[in-house]
Amino acid sequence: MLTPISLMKVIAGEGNNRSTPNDKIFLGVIGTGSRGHHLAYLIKEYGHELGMEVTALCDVYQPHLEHTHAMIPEAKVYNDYRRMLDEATELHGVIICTPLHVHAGPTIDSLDRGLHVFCEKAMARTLDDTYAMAEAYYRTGKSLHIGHQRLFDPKFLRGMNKVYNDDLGVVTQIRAYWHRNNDWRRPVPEGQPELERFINWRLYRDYSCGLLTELASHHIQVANWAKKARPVEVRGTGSISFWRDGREVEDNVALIFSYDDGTQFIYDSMIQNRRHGLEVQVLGHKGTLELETNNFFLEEPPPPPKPAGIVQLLQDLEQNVLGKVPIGSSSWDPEIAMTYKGESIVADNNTDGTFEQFYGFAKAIREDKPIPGLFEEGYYASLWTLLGQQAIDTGKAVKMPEKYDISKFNPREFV
Amino acid sequence: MGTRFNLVIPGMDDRDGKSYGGKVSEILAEQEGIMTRFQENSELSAINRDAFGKAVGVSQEMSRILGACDLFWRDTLGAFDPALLSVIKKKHETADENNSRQVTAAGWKNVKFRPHARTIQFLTGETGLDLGGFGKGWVMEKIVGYLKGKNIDAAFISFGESTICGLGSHPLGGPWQVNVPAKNGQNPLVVNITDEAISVSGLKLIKRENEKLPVPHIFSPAREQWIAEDKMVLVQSASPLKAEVLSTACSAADDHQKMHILDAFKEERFYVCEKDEWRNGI
Repeated sequence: MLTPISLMKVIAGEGNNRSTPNDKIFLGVIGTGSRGHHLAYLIKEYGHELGMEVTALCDVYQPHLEHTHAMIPEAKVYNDYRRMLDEATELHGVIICTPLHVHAGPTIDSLDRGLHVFCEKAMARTLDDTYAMAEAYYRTGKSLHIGHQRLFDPKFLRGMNKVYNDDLGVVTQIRAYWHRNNDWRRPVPEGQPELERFINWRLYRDYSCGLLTELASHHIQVANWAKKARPVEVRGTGSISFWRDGREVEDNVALIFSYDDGTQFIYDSMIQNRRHGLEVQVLGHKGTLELETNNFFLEEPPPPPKPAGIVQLLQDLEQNVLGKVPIGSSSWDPEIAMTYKGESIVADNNTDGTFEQFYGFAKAIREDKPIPGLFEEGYYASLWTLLGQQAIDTGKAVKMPEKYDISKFNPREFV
Repeated sequence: MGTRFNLVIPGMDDRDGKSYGGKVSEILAEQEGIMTRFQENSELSAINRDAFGKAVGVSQEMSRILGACDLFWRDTLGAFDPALLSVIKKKHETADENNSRQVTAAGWKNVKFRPHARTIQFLTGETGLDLGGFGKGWVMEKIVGYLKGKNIDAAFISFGESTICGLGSHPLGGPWQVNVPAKNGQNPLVVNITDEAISVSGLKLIKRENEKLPVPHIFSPAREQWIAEDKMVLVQSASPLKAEVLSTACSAADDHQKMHILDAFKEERFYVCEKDEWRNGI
């Protein structure tokens, strides 16, 4: 089991020697589009805390490569990741941010060369590629982190502690949504329409499952994490209901994942209304977590604190003091319905875990072994994302084929 | 009512305390279920939904409440008006023109209450009931009655820190003493209460750290405006209900209404805090 406390320790730096990393970690970035550029930027700006440095960049698309190279001019650049793996012998690990359908090749080749891999979510476009990545992970013993950054987000970690500590009671439903209002397109260079599918790969079925692999994967991971389980089946529907511009992936999806204990995880996503943004709600009989917005609500709110005057009166009575009660005041929010606003899960909600992921990655590289349980979170989230797409495509309830069960590899638990 | 309630009974063991506390909670919940406008299934909400244009039946308890409201409306010359819900709901539209139009269309004058038939009807669509400035006092009467019935001879009861009742004497002897500050804990008015209640209404415009200035919440039908003055009114009475209703009414009253109230309620004591000083009167 991947415990929140164990990951908190990782973020806190236990065993990570964060303050004085005397052994440098050299990283290569494969795929320097928007996400790859952003992660490279984070490591350039803050990686020194972890002794991390980007020394190699690779992309087949020259404008992206040049853009990131301009930010890290000291890095060597490559157009072929195999050449990078051959020549950049200083590397300890790679960060893979290629389009989804080309995650598997670089991941497996890097693992087979003894490198640790951080691969953006979801893992792959197909179930077989996803499974092949898992086989490589278990075969090589190197770490394979999947970019579900909520695993390192303090509010999600503390939230999961609340779930596991029974603060929510019996969790029987999880609801999540991710809404945006844009066409989700990236600009294609003028005069080069042949680059449409290359640039906007998220919109085409050969390369992506759109909203599911790019967004839903995160919340599917959270739901599995909260339940300490994976679903038994998924039903779904979806449509291209608004952005009818030649794209092949849905702009409007709804899924229900069912768990063995009867829990339902209800998910929807759309990109034609942003009113509700994104949220994941974990609903128990004693409480509710709203993790994205850092809120926790009890079903039975605690009584409000006693007013200072009443507290003083009680103290005076207990001490046999005849005191004046300092209590009368102008009308106290008179006749306004008291609304219970819940409590914050963490006091300072100033990170989404994107950088904190690298604390874990640095630890895994330095110790030359994976954080037990972490890969499995990414694997089953990715797998059930693809099964969700199958459910939409077939209109049927979909179960996980047994051959994709990785328990046969005896994954270790985090102790 | 949507407010805080505290009850202190000295010398009570845990078992009796839980028993009395449980019963008081039941009274609170029962009365809230009748009088609140914040619950859709309360009797008040049902009246507000259904009473425009037709007479609707009310419970015995609501009939008693409406009867008391009617008396207070008359005895304060309308300074206490529990039928201005539409004005309260449009609180932020404070332009005089809007208020004037709404006050004309709303208010107790447009309520047709028949106590013997136990029905109520609103004559205009703008009319609606809001029992703020009444409910805490009404419930306080019930709770005091319950405690006296249980032979409890000393208790201190606070409703939202603005309606307070001292039942019997302080266990060390003498009255309960309540200290009502004029400004930042200074220049307090010390009120002695024995089997009496006080109620404080109005605004103290003290801006505390991390808090916004208080928002006006008392509407004056006579002046057709929200009361935004830095002023508090405290009424002391043997009746928690009178204290509650009159403190609100005095905050809302114009000069003519104030004169009438002082004349009609001779057993009550009135205090006003203006410019950070307390004085007798309103």
